[in-house]
Amino acid sequence: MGGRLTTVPADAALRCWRTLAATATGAGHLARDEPGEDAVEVRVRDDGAVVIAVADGAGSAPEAREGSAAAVAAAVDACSSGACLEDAFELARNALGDDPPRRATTLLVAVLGADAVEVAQVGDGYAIARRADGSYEVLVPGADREYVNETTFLSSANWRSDLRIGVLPADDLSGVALLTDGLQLVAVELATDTPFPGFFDPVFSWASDEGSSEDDLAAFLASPRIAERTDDDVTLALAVRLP
Amino acid sequence: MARMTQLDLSVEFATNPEPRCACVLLLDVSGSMSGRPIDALNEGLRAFSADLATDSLARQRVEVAIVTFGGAGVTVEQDFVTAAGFEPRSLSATGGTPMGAAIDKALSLVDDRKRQYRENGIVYYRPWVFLITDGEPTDSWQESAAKVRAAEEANGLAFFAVGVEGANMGVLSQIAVRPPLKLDGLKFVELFVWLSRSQRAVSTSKPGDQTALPTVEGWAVV
Repeated sequence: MGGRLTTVPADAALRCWRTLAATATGAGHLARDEPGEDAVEVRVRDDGAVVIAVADGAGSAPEAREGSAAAVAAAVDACSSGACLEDAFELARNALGDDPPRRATTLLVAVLGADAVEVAQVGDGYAIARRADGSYEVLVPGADREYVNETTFLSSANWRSDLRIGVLPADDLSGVALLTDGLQLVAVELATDTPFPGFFDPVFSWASDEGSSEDDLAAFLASPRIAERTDDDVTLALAVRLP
Repeated sequence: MARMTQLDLSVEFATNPEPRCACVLLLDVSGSMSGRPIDALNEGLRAFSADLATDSLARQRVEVAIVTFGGAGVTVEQDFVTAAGFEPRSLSATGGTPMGAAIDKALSLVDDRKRQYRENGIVYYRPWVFLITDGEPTDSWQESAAKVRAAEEANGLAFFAVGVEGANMGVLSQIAVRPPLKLDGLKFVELFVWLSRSQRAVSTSKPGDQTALPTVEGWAVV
């Protein structure tokens, strides 16, 4: 398992979202005995809002793992202390250090409040909302890139031009999922950029069950079924709205 | 463990088409290639097909097309086919070297293929065009060279040129942005195994990967 995972319980009465997050190292890294380069961090704020950050360190960057971990830590710290998403991304970029390309990473951050869901993204990966009627929506549209193996990283000089932010009212949403691009082949219909209900319906149904655990999610992500479809690291963070 | 089984059993996966990696071989089959060179080229194509076939992802992702240029003019010898279905036919060599027209054909094949990918919701990698010649153009090639350079500038494709003994390397260096490489003797098999390994690397690359191509030392004059 790569990445960092921190869940700090807040006052139960204030909690409006339940979260489950896990990451699994891809076969490509396992075969070379390398750690995964995805990172995920979840924190519950004092006001009950949940901050989730996921990041995918670039394979060619020598400190990709450190980069993704630093980015999610800085973003979650910033959003937990009330910074807006733009500022959180500035701080996350600064956290990559003096030589950002060495720590090239994507970054996807969501702040799930009682009233609104805010999401911001640089690079690939998906933030997906499940509506109360069971339909799905990509929260932040993908950037327009021609090739599947290209993206903009938080470390790129032009990262601000790729920063995409979306806000939705929370009352219509029953769940939110953040995932890194390792999962996109199985969870998203890429032709139409549509979340695949066959993937997300059972996942959200499972996440709504109070007995579900992050260990089970991690085991699922590391399962042979997923490894057969991608050799990349995979990260999935789930939030379900509490009644 | 029971819950794990529940999640594992209930989740379905989206059936996305494999991402595609288009590769156009632009092959000189003019008269000067006849004899041992064309035999070696054919052997190289078979090695290319065989090496791609050993890679389970590349088999489904790499798409090969072959454009030949020679006495019969410019011929699409093989339209795009996934590596899994690629069975090279033997080429024969005769006549002139209409390289300019062949380059135009390769570029339009790439553009058409990209349009088909987009229309069918297929994601793809940057296509490669791989030119191999032992001579120099017998038609007008300057405009074609300008198109290659414009396409490279726009990141629309990657164009590689390889000269076999006798090739006009000066012309090749005006067509390709990358310095053309000179084939060592008739090491077509080594060249095509290198090309297969390169396509295998590209077709499994992820964002941010600096796709390291294998060394060309096995087949190129360094």
